[in-house]
Amino acid sequence: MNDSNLSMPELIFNPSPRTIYLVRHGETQGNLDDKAQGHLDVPLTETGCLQAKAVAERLSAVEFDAVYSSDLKRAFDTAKAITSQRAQLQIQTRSQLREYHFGNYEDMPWDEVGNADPEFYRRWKNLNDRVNVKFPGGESMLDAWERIGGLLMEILAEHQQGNETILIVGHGGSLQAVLAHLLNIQAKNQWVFLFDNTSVTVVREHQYTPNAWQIHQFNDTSHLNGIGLNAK
Amino acid sequence: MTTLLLVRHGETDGNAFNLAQGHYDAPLNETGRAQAQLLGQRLINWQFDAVYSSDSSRALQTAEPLLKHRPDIEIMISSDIREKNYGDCENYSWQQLRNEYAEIFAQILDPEIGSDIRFPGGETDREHMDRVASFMRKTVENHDEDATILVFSHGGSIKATAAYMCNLRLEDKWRLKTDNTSISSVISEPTWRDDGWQIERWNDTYHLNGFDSHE
Repeated sequence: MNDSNLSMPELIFNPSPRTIYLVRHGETQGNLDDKAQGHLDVPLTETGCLQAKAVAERLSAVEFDAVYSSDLKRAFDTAKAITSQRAQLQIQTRSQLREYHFGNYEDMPWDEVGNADPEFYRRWKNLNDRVNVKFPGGESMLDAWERIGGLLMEILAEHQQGNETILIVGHGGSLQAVLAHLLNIQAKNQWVFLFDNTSVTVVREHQYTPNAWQIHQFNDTSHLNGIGLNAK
Repeated sequence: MTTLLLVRHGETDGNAFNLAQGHYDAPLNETGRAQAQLLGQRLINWQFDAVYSSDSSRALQTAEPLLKHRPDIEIMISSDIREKNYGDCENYSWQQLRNEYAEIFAQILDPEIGSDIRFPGGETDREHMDRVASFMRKTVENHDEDATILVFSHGGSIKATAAYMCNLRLEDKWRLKTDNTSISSVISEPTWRDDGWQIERWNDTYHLNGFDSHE
């Protein structure tokens, strides 16, 4: 199928574009309760485990050359489900793929964060200011942007063969940063991408522009349709 | 939360041969008509508060199967969401454009200035975005805050809408790929404590081939 857009920066034929799949972890109790989880190491709920199985089934025809995952349980267990039928594929855990570190607010419902610290919450809610926000006892959004971007550069440098397909399993926040880095979108705009639990996103290098990436599909949860798993 | 569901038209011969198609009024080809049928099936039970289409035949023909299933839907037609106008260069292949308009072509590919360059008699990317964005803004204002609005249009118009609503740089909109009859959506006042528009899904073509075309 053809894409109508002409605007691309250069025309250099790239015969072997790389592909990156991004998968967010399955549901946790904290997702259901709308809590800040961050570096808290919480397990998947029963629904989350079923979602992980469903996404594994959905990706069963895709041949991955490498799998990277956040080392937090909810991501790692999702990655484990996806790789369970692939004996030769090792999950490479990377702590840089963790969610933002929400510091003192981890395990707190977001509503309560709003009540506990209205000034902080106001800045966090303001998309133009959010990138400057530092969570008390935790991370600033720019720190997270840099740690995640740094790891992405390492992963890309690691896979230069062309035609490679790489899976990255992470979190709502860390995957936003990965995607924005790949697409050259500014840090302050990384929040335009909403990742649902076990959603699949496909990003591929442009055929005429090496190292320039295009979204082929974003936030696909069709594997959850009709089986009552479509929780956010 | 307002939801804009943005659907690209089915395949035309011009798409299949990779031609610059803007205001030129090409019909769907056989593949495109089959894609539109599958799309109509997919959307059959979806709830919409309003349905709009570009007045280009390829967009209207893409909407047709859905309208057949759903006589309750009243479609509103506008020329404001047409594809970018390529002027004298309509139906040129990219190769022809490169050869015959080498200088303009190179300028258009330059991210610094490309959004403000036009082919003779045509529109710039920025003019196109302004036209489409002003339609989208008005349309959103004309409906309830929680409305779901379905819009049949074009690859360039869909990307321009997302770039405008989500505040992305216009010169980066090519990074959002849209295949024929794909469904993309942008939402306002989203679920996750934000005050801007966000992308909820992009280039969903589940109806065409089970899962997707990327495997």
